[in-house]
Amino acid sequence: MTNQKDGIGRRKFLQMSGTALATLAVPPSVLAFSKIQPVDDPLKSYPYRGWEDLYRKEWTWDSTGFITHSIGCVAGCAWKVYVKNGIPMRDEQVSEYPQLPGIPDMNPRGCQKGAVYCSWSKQPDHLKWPLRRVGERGERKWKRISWDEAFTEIADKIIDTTLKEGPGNVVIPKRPFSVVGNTAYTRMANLLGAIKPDVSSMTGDLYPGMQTVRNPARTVSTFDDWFTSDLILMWHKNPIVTRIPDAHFLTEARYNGARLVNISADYNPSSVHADLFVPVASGTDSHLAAAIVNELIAGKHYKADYLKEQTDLPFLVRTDNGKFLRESDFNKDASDEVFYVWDSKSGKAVLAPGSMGSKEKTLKLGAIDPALEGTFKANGIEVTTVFERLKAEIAPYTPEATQKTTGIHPSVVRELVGMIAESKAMRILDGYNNQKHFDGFQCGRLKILILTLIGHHGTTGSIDTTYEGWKLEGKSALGKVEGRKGRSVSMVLAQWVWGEQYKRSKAYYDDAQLKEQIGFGVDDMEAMRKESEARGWMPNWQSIKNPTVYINGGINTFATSNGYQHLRDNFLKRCELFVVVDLRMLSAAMYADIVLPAAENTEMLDIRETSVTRFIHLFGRPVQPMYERKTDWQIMAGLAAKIQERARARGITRVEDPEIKAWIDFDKIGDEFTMNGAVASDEDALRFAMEKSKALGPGTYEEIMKKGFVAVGPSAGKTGPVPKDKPYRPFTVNVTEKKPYKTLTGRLQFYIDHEWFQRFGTEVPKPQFGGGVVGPKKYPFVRNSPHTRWGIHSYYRNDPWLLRQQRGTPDVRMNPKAMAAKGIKDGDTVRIFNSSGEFFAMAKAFPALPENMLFSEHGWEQYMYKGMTHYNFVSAELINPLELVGGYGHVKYKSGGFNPNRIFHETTVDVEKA
Amino acid sequence: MSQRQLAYVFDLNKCIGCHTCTMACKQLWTNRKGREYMYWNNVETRPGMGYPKNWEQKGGGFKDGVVRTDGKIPPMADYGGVWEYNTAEVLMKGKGDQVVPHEKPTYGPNWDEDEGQGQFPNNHYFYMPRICNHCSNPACLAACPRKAIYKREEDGLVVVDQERCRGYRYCVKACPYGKVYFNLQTGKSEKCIGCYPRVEKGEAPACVKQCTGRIRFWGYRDDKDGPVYKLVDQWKVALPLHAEYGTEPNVFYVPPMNVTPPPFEEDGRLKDEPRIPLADIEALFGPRTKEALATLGREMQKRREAKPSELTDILIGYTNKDRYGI
Repeated sequence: MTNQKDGIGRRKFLQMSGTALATLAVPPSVLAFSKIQPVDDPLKSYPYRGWEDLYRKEWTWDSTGFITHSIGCVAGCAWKVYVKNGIPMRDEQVSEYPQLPGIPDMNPRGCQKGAVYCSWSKQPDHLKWPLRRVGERGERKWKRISWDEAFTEIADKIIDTTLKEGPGNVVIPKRPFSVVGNTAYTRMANLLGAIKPDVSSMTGDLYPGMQTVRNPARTVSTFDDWFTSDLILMWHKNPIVTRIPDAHFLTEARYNGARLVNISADYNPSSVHADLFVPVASGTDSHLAAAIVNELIAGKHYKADYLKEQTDLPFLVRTDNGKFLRESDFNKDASDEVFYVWDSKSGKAVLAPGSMGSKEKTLKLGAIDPALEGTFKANGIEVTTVFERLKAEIAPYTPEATQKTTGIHPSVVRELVGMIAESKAMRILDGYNNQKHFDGFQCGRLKILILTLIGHHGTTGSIDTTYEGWKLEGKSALGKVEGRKGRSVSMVLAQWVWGEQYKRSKAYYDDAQLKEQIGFGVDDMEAMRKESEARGWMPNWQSIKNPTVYINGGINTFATSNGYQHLRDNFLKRCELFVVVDLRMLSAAMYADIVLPAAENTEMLDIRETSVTRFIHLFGRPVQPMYERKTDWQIMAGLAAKIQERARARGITRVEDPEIKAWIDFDKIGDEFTMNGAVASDEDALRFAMEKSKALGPGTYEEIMKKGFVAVGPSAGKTGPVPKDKPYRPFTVNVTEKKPYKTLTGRLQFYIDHEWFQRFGTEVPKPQFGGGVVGPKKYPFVRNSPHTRWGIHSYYRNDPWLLRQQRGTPDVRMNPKAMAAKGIKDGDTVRIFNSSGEFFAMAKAFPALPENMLFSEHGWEQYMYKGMTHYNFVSAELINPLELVGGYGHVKYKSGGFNPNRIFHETTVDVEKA
Repeated sequence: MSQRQLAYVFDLNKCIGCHTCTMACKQLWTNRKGREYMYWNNVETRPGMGYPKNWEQKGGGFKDGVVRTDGKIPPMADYGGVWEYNTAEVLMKGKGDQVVPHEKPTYGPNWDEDEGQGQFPNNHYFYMPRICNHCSNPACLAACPRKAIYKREEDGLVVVDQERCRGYRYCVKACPYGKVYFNLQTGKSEKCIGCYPRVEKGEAPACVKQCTGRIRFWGYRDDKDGPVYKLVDQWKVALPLHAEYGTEPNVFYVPPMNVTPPPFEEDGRLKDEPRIPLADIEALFGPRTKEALATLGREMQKRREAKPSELTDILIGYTNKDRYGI
């Protein structure tokens, strides 16, 4: 905290001003009179400067403190909050990050949402005290209750539910992206054996396709690394809008010689800054990617040495059954996770080092020279290489052949391929949009293949997904409960079952069309989901448990899904106590039984660990929690204490939980939560998380309190060290130190011989469908809900200052020609509909869209729409069976890594004037 | 003339339309006291109507050296509503079933965001932030019968004396940029003050210091080592907006590169034509636009060939110190 002493400074300034001295010499009454005296020439000088204090007084404050606003955002920015009379008044960036040699610094990070945080947090929907519903769910009639009442009701319900239905019928999803706040929910869920849904799958933020190639898929450079590129493909990512604090690295890279390419269905704000815009038809990117791969291979623009060492492209595949040639093919007792390459020098199949089953934990090939091409006989078994398979299967996807699907002229594909081939440091920025399309799975594999073919992955380039988060052992330790892991589950599957998404999708999609286009229908999806669960590939908690108690930590549960009302109605039938913890009355909270007020960002003592920069950012509690708000950590700690108190009062002790080989100690849970008091306070928990993390350690707590941010040490990188003097880039050690990748083959893996991949003919990356719109054809528009610059999901969406920079109410964007054809004018209220539902919004003429697309930006709250409709009323989801597989090396269920993603950008709609 | 003049360069090739500048200004100066409808700093999508609506048609400025008196005072509808919402009623009291603005929105400061002109995929738009130009020959100053508007001697910032002003609004009419506003609560005209309280303490204006796109360069116009002088006078890539209005603005713009990304022929091939017609940009920044864009293109090509370029280094503006300072 700093105190401003500029009152003196201001007086000094006035004393130094000759004119001010002159005016001070006359009495105030004369001064007022003097204002109507003639002024000579105000261009030259002006005698009456005393009034200027008016504005000077407005730029004053009592104290400042540090803050970041990224509880729902992946950016992470250091801000200062200016406090006056105990009230947080204004946010301004700290803007003191150090510079790396030759790289533009990160000053100032932030965006317009952060700039209005103090204003937004004063809105009347921001919670002040615990509330209990007094009307029906959704009626929004509340009664203020005490924390003790709230905790008691929740605690008893958790105990009762566990005793009655068994452990695992408590569900605790969480979103607050702060280390301590987020971990509070993990710790509570672990102690209770609760279900921990994968929130990334719910929001459609997984990269399951790419996860089959590299592990972890969701990995990024620090975004200052963008500056080092000479070619940047913005593909399924609109960074000018969605990565505001880092967007300057793109415009600055361009000034540094880089070319920017935007591949997108719409002419979005990132296109504006591009050297080439590729207007690919929505959802057909896999075909464009296939054409690029085809051209790169046909033109021999690939780096053979790199591919031989770093990828499975030289690995041998049997021609009889399409399986990898394995050590176990020749010796039943040998490993089925050891593979072969064909050594051109010795002319025989030799074991490839570095795979999961290999004893040699290196990619070093030594004397081996693996063949990329050819067909061979290995001990009588005919084999070929993955590269041969890829070449053959990608061959039909020429720029000419794909034009009909993608709408991209072959000459444009070749222009792009020329740029790629000539690039020395290419980067792909890959957002969350790809995997929300049906063919996103294969497209993800193809995109990373492009970067890999030219040898840039882990060397001079990177494929940057959205973010990953630094490796902080202290954070893990804070959430970890020895022997008790809770129950992880895919939220898409949980909602598919609990929310009856299956029925909804079945009612919406045209099964015959689906079967023709993608090879299976919605019933098949349901059957395959069951099979996957039966075979233990995906967790089956959704099939055997219920969300009887649902404690929603900072998630807009129904908004981040499809068919708000449908999901809500079906889901809530199974839910007896719906608790929402949030800083505001978000849409989901309208349906809650109990709403608990979480501390505002200005009231938190916590950190944010997003890895788009090397800096950890501080929520420095510029003011103490106001009203009755508590931090997420204190809420969970308080609840745990209450459970313990109630259990002891009721004589309840341990409940065994054999399904997960764990137990719940109801009578000790409060002490367990705080580690017997060691992490009872926010400060203790934060110190614990920081000091036990290798990349931070002792002293960093003090440092971050002084600066608002602190740099991570080398060990923070999940795939390699964070260098001191350069931006971080992932997967470099695999190249420099020949460290195997965490994949089955130990390589960037482009061949998956899992039975389901074989069943769908998707062993190699290539389009999984023939293209076109997958949603029912009777609706002429493909809908999409791209991220907006005006919100972080639903956060900030109702801030009046931000709404005034929009249309003041939810809008829907359409091509002007399409509007004219429908008799719709800009500003009209329109109804968007299909058999799944409808919503209403203001039409906005949008020449940046093709005629068959309709955009409703993401994050609008349900309560902003007429009749409590919502843009997701019309969307319906698909499950890609490739995302259901498991039991295959690294391709298996992983929360935040691999499980079915929410695929909903294939939905079609119609529109009419309302 | 003032002894020194603070000046700005806004690089439109770096502007990402994030409006952090707008919100920074709003929270510092105009979220209260009758200023709510004012955006001393706004960002508009071009081509477009801007803020206030169609301000380029409002008139004002100078003709043959004489301040024009036929300028209009924009009606409130052209600034757009300061919508208030029934949030508390709907969410906390269960009254009604929609959070709505108190009036039907018909215009706002960013109403036509990202719209621009043309037909997909050959449409185009870019962003243009605007503040008071702190002109060397301010029309607002010339028009004020009370002589309540002056240029501060030490830095050339143009300010309206909030005590002397009587609210005649000649300044509102005269400013051809629509950047002087009338405060209905105080009965005085108000405008961007160049953050002089900050400047006096050596701090850059909020819109400059908080610009996340790092598009803003700021300093004394005569500082030959500063980026403003270099971009305006030495490299001649930064141009005033509508110089023909005759006010001699001290905000200069690096015009947007108009040739990229290339548009498409009917059959989908790339078309060898600029995406944005040069004339459209010249209409904003005058006849020197072409030369400025050529210089920019030439220097950027140097960097593509890995040759050094002082100009692109200035525009990158590696650190805060490189972009602004006094």
